[in-house]
Amino acid sequence: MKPRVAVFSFTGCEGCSLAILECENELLGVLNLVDIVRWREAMSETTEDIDIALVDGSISTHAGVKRIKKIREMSKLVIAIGACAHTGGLNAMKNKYGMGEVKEVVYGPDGAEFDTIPARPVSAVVPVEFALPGCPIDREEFLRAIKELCMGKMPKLPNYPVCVECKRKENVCVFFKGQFCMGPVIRAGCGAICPSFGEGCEGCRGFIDNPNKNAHQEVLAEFGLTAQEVMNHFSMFNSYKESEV
Amino acid sequence: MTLRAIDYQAVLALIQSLMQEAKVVAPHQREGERQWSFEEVTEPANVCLEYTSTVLPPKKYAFPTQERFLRYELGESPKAEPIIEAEPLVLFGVHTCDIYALNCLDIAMTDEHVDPNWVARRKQMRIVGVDCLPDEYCFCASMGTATVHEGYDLFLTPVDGGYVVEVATEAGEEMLTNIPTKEATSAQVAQVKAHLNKKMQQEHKLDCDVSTLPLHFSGVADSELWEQHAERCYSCGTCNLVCPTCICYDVLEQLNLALDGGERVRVWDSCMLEEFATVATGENFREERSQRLRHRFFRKYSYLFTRYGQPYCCGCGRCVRQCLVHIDPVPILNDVIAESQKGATVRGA
Ligand code: SF4
Ligand code: SF4
Ligand code: SF4
Ligand code: SF4
Ligand code: SF4
Repeated sequence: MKPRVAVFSFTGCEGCSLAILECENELLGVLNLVDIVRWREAMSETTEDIDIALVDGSISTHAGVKRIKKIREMSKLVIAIGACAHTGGLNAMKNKYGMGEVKEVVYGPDGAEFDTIPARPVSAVVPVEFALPGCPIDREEFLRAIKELCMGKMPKLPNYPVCVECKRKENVCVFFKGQFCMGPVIRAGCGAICPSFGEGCEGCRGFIDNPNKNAHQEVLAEFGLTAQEVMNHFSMFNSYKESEV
Repeated sequence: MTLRAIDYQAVLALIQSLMQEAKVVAPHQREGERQWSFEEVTEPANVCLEYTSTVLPPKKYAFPTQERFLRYELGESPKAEPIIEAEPLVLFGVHTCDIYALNCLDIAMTDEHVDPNWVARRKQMRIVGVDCLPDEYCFCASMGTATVHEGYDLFLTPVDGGYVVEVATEAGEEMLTNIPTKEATSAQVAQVKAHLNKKMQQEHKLDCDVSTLPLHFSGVADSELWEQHAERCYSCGTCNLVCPTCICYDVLEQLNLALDGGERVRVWDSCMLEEFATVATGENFREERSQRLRHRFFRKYSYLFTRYGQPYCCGCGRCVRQCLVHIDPVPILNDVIAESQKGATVRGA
């Protein structure tokens, strides 16, 4: 029996579920491995018997909280995909403002009507079996995870920083070109794609298990960032804090 | 030893003629100040022979950063065949430290287990060395690697108007067929000596003779120095990944989507990474950054040194050059030396 897979989207750009559709050459192979039983982006069917729920987007409304709880009940495995679902992503930046202020800024005077709560990762609302990081997710990593799930294995993420993949590609470190990078404390797996295109890593995949944050604050400062700028670098994709919600 | 003299034009002609028969790789300038890497030559004039150090060592041509080495089919009748991809290659413009490192790895890669991929590539490799002057990170003078005596076919030392060429092998002799060279004059030979003298002037140096280095490691395993030096360490692995004498790799299975076959791939690994020493049971026997830093140093300057009779560090300085928190082997080794001497005095008293 092929595992029954469903895809659900919450607050985010839905870029991660689209990234799955973009696996053009491999999509047929994926469909040989799994049955896609529910997916708003690609089909109209609905079912409530799900082996693997792939969830993108962060949870940022009361309605969303209810819906993800329902999905959890219907599904054997819940897999968060993409930065929004994994860490709260960029959405969690709004959490440091009051929700009233956020509604006002985003929607103007009518904002009070909107159902918005501080954005949180899926795991803050329901247990998740696994999270696939990245903004958007990495295609290769997604395919690897699907293969592993089909073999009954839980996928494993690298627990080393982006610098490893950056060095294997022989990139010139962006720090030596006057730029800044979060790579030394951020989990690899994207193939160091941003430094490979000459941009510093912004941390979309979240921290490794034991990041040396002190060292990195010192390095960013040594290369010329102010304390506030250092904070901004640390919080871009990784600002979600339980204390704020 | 034959010494010839060759001018700049003839060096370009030499590269051009080598390109007719093989892939030629040489240092090229990268974006950013003082950054170079070995890349395939498409235009001889773009080769940069005056450089201090490339991001990755030329080791990558014998042991690629990522390489498929086994192809297999699963199912009813499983099959597996090794993949060995090798081609004739000329490494042009290699420094003495990197030549030393390749020689080191020839030993390590054929010791207990012969690495067929390494051997196949090294067999088809010809090397043209070039001499250099150190930057603030180099410490080849201390490591005894500012000169090498084997592992190259030609070796160029810059002198006025061009290079003096040492022809070390028959293959080297052949490379020079059709290339205009002259006999090196005594003035040029004197310049070669002067160049070496200048290269040996290094501020970045060890406080002991390199041959005694392993002895100093006997009493420092429990020293606090490892913690002190590891405090700022990211465990990012950069120091190993850029190191010309590191040989650790991780093995990955790349199954196809039908899950009925695939390829086995190896990628460069690093003993500084948190999970490097995690075993199947989940236990990590080098959990602390300081333990991993200590292991790296014991390995390069003690275990392998003792086993093979030569240091597994060529003093190229890449590790500290690329380390964002400036963890430098020289002050660490000097702390090891100081500590062991202190211990010796205490024990002797
Ligand atoms: S560019 Fe970033 S990821 Fe790459 S080596 Fe430098 S700090 Fe690490
Ligand atoms: S380099 Fe950093 S920001 Fe870019 S994709 Fe990778 S983790 Fe995300
Ligand atoms: S370590 Fe020595 S041989 Fe290597 S680049 Fe520096 S000066 Fe040249
Ligand atoms: S010593 Fe430097 S390069 Fe090596 S792992 Fe630590 S921080 Fe990274
Ligand atoms: S340990 Fe550092 S100096 Fe020694 S060979 Fe490796 S990169 Fe070069």
